[in-house]
Amino acid sequence: MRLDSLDLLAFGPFENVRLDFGAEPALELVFGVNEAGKSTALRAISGLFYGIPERTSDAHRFPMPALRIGAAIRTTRGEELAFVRRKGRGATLHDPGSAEPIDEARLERLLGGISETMFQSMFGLDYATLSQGAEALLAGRGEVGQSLFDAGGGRGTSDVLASLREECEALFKPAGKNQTINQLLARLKQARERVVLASRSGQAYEQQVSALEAMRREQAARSAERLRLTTERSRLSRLVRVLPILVSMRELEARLESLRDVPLLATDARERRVRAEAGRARAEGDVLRLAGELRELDERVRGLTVLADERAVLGASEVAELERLRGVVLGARGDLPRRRAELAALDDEADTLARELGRSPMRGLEAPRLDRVVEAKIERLRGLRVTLDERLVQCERSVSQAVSRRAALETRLGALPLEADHARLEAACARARREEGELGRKAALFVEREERAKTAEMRAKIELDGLVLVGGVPTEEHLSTARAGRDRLLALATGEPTDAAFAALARAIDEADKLADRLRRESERVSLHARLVAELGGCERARLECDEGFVALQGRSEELSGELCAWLDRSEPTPTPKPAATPTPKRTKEPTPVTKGRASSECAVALARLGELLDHGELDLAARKARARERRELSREHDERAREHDEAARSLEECTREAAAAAVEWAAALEPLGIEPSRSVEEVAQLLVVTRSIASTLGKARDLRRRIDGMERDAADLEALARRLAARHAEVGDAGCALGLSEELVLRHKRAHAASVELPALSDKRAQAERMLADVKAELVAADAELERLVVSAGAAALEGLARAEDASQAKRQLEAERATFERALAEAGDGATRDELEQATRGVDRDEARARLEELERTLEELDLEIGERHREIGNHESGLTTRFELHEGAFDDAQHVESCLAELRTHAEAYAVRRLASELLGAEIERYRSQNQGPVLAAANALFPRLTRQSFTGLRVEYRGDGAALVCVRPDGRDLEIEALSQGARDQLYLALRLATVLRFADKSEPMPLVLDDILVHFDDARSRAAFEVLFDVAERVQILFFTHHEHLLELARSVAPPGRLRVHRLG
Amino acid sequence: MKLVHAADLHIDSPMRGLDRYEGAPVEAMRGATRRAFENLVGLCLEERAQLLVLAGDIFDGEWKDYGTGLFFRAQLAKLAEAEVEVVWVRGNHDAASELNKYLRLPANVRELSTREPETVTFEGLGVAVHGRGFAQRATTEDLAASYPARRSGLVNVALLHTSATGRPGHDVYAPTTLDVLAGKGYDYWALGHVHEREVLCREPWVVYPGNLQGRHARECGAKGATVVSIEGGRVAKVEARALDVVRWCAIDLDARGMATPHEAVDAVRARLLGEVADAEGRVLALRVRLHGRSAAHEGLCRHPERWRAELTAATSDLGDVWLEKLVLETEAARTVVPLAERDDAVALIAGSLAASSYDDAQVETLARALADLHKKLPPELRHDDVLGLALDRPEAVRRLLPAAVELLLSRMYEAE
Repeated sequence: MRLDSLDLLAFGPFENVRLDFGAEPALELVFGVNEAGKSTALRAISGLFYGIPERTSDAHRFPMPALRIGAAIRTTRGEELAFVRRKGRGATLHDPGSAEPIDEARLERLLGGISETMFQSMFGLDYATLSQGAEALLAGRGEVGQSLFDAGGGRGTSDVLASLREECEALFKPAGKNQTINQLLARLKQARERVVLASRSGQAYEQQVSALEAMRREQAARSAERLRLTTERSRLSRLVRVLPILVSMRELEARLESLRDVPLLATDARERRVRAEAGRARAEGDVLRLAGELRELDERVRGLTVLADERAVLGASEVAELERLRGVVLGARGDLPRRRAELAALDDEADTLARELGRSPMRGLEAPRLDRVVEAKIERLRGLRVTLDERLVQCERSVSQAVSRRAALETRLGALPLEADHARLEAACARARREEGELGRKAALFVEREERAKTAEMRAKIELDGLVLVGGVPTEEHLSTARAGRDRLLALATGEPTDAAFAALARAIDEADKLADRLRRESERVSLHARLVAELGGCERARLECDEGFVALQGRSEELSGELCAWLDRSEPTPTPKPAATPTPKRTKEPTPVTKGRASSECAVALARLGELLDHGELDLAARKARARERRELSREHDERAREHDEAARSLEECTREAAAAAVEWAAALEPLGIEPSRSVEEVAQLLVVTRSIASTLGKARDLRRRIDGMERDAADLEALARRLAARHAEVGDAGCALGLSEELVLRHKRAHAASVELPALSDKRAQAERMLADVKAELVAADAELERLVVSAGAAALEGLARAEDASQAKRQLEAERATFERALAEAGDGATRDELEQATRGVDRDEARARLEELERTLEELDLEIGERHREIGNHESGLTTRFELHEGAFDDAQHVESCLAELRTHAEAYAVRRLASELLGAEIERYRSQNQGPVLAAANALFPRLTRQSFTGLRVEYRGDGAALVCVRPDGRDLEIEALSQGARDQLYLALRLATVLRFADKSEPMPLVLDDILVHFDDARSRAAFEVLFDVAERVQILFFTHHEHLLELARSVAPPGRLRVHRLG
Repeated sequence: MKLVHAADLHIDSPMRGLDRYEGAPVEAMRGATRRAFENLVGLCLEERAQLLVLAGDIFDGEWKDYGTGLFFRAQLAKLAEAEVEVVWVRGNHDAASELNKYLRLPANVRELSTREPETVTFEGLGVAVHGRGFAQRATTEDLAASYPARRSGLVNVALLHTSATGRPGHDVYAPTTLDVLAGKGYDYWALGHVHEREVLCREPWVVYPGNLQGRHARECGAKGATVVSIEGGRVAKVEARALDVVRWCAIDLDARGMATPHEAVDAVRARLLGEVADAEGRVLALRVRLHGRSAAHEGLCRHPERWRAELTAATSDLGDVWLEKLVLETEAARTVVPLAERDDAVALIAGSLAASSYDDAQVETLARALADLHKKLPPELRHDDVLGLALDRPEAVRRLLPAAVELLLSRMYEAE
């Protein structure tokens, strides 16, 4: 299968780039400098056949879904397919024309079932892979099967085989210890042993259970004995406790018998007696105290009644008015003189201020009228006048400044030239610059073409010289000349048949025949000679065409220079200095005959001058434009200043008008105040302040005078009222001052009022005292009755015997309480036994003997308890051991589970070992099988390629059978063998290349080959080896399409130098 | 009245095939069969069942430890306290058990004879239980045929450990037919021996409850017992109850359409979500099998250990999941062209390594390479059992060959 074309439609940096490989076999050399996208193109080929990978670095220009690669492919059987591959997950193939999807299987069939990895391993080769393959040859010491297998696309198999064997050895060795499986086997054995150790039998369990039961029986017997002893200890202990209680009870009962006749009084009898006696004494005291209080109250009621009667003499409202006036007069008595002095001072101050205004004294007169409206108006006018004065000064200054600025700008404008139109000069420069670029590009093309012609001419000459050196080459012209001579001699001989003429004719015929023979025999040399001569002629023509081109370019450059100079001279009012003038060559109608090389250099000089002139013109144009810009700026500024001057003049006029109007209004405002309009605004302000002060002072004096008049009226009213009331009261005379009289009258009226208020309260208090006296007398009677009842209940003759009866009753009650306490103690100490039972049990018992026996029992019980505790612990331990070992602990079960885990782990590793071992066995067998099938054909092909690649440094390859297998050896021209280890790096590279190419050719013998993609594999080959490699590749390309990617220009040239005609196609990327 | 029917308890039988790894839920797995039996006792108490019948294989053969019997007795004692009657027969695994030699079971527990069919009658419950245990492991006679006639007026329940008409993966013991069983006229045949729950017949009821706790990857799904409700002198309702504490599950996944191993891991995780929900908090012992032609194949085969670890990590947040095994049976998505059409080295090996192309002589040659390992392996791994590799057998070698080929191809591609 071969690629007819590859379309990088949208992939990596490429857009619509087509590599057209053509139908004829040739080495397709794809040249691209670094970064031109050579690697991208390589990836594109893989992506084309097998899909663009899910993650790709080639989506930097186009987004992932937009990536597209197209191709047209053809098999050796003539099947064809044109398709486009897009980036995606499914149905990524489609027809380039109809965009209909194409079944992937169709492409797979054409690919001959070769997978992507296979394509990359067998039909892809770069220098790194080549070098690694050579290293593998060295590592395998040329082992034939391995070498063939590696070169046949199974590269790295030796590593795979080695790693498999290594992994197997790490997993298991029959006699090993540290390998994973060996260690697991040991662990399994230990786990099994632990299972056996942890196992517990039923017999052992039953024996332990029997032993436990025996221990429990013994413990039960100990517990019974302890119970018996505890009971005896309780009995003795009880007897010891109750014996002293019984003795005490007997003594108490004897004392109670002596008090048998004493009556038992109520328990509160003594308390009731004491309370009744105390109540009686307290009631008697209260009767005496309450009688005294009643007498005192009667006296006070009588006194108050007399006082209260005085209220009727003095009227309440008159006394209130009297009291008010008295307070007012008393307050004004100190204040009146001070107020009179203040009034005098205010009158003086008003007079002083009037004098300041230039008026007569103002005492008692009205102040000049100055209301707020007038004052505000004056204040506003004053401010207006100040503002207008300032504005007048400012406007005058602005007018003056504007005039001086306008004058300065007019001076600067006068110094600048008038503005001119530079558009035409600018257009001329731009046109000349564009044409200069075009001329430069054409000149470069001519230079390149001339160089190519020179190179081709030189190569043709060398080849022609070589051809002629070997011997003269006959030509058709020679033959024509010879035949013309022959015909001429034939005519002569026919006309003059002489021997000499015939001899000459015979020589001429012979010469013509020989020439004809040579032309036929040496046809290859003749045709080569003719081709070389034709090539030389072609080169000469090309160079002449280049010279004519140079002359034309030079002429056009000079023409443009002339035009530019004319423009500059015409547009410039004052001549601008130009670059050193080079005499403009005179134009001639016919091109000047040129010497080789001279035309190109003169053309270059003319182009350079044109460039300089253009630079100068562009600079001059820029300066003219700058001056025009400056003039426009100054004009704009001048107009601005004129507008400012007019504005200032208008403001000045307006301000003057406003100042006159303000002066008229000012005079009208001051006139009512008597202030002259000629006064300054500051003076008017001062006069307004004084006027305001006079008005204020006169107002204060008026208020003060009204207040003094009021005080004097109140004093007269008090005097009249006091005299009238005094005349009405008999006990108050009318002598003395009004203040004294009014004080006494007010005091008498207050006393009478207080007595009339207190009298009802005293009457209530007296009634309450009478009620309390009655209650106390009743309590006295009740206490006497209670005492009488107590005497009767005690059986006493009189109240005095009652206390003794109470003491006897209390003593008897105490003894009975003690007897009850003893009975409770006996019941408690006797553990619930009755008194009779206890009396019987203690009969004849000695308390000291009983106590001694009790102590002995305590010791015995203590020892028994210790033993029981000890045995109890033993039983507990035994029980818990039994439970732990047999019931709680899962024993061997855990270990059995561990055995299973070991088995599972062992199985996993054993399977891993088996798989790896089988894999290594299979691989070894397959390598051997491959060798046996391919050794002959592949080695035969490699044997032919290797000498060519090494330029006959080796004459071939040979298989040498050694003890450890068959190995490749290389044969020198002198017949010596060289083993792989002895080869240089370069020779090993060549050997690996020979094997790879031989494998591909072998593949092509039997199957549909893929294009062989070589990525700069010759990058480290020297020129001679590279040439040799190219020669071999040209041959291989006859059968298998080769795409040779490189970014080295010299490899391109080397390929060209050895390429048979029409067998090299160069494609450029980027 | 309710009775509970269980069989194949295999108390203290270990979980098989689980190799330990960092983070594996070891504790949750401990004593799984015991916990399941505790669940059975709990079920009886919760359902207020009055009778528990156990149809054989209580234990897993000879006790490795007497603690197994003590545990059994302690659990039965709980039933005795609740006055639950227990009747059981020996199965093939119990034949060698030392039960009864030393261990005294509570009074509520009756073992039916191994010499002849025996009937226990519970007049108070209205139930007669017939049955006969295995005297020795290999009992091949039809024990059911000699069972006694139906007791009239009672619900007749029969205990039988049998392979019935034969079940794959189970040895043939006490074989019998449905005709024989139905012919006895009993109401309920409580069978044991087959570890999958199965109702063979509804008139009369013939039921395998399945084992109580799955123990390896061949015993997947819910395991437990059957609750039988008896009303009006007949079986009214039969219900299955899950009692297992560890749930074995197998996920079979077709990897077609998966581009990378990561996608396969994600797909397993997605499937596992459903299994985890079904397991209701139980530990899951998981076997995953990936198959089908897939682009993920090479990645999976190149580093199977890595993808096992990835899978373990990806399922670690779903609860207690123990990955027992990742079985890779995928095929490469690439087209392997027949040998005749291809001549490159890898094509050659890919074509000729197809396991089917190996004749017996070649397989025997390969088996010899594994002989050293085979000899060293313990018996459990030498024989073709649950764990067995049986590396000396050609079929075992053929079984491993695809994995070997894929490993080889993936390594060779990797080397490119």
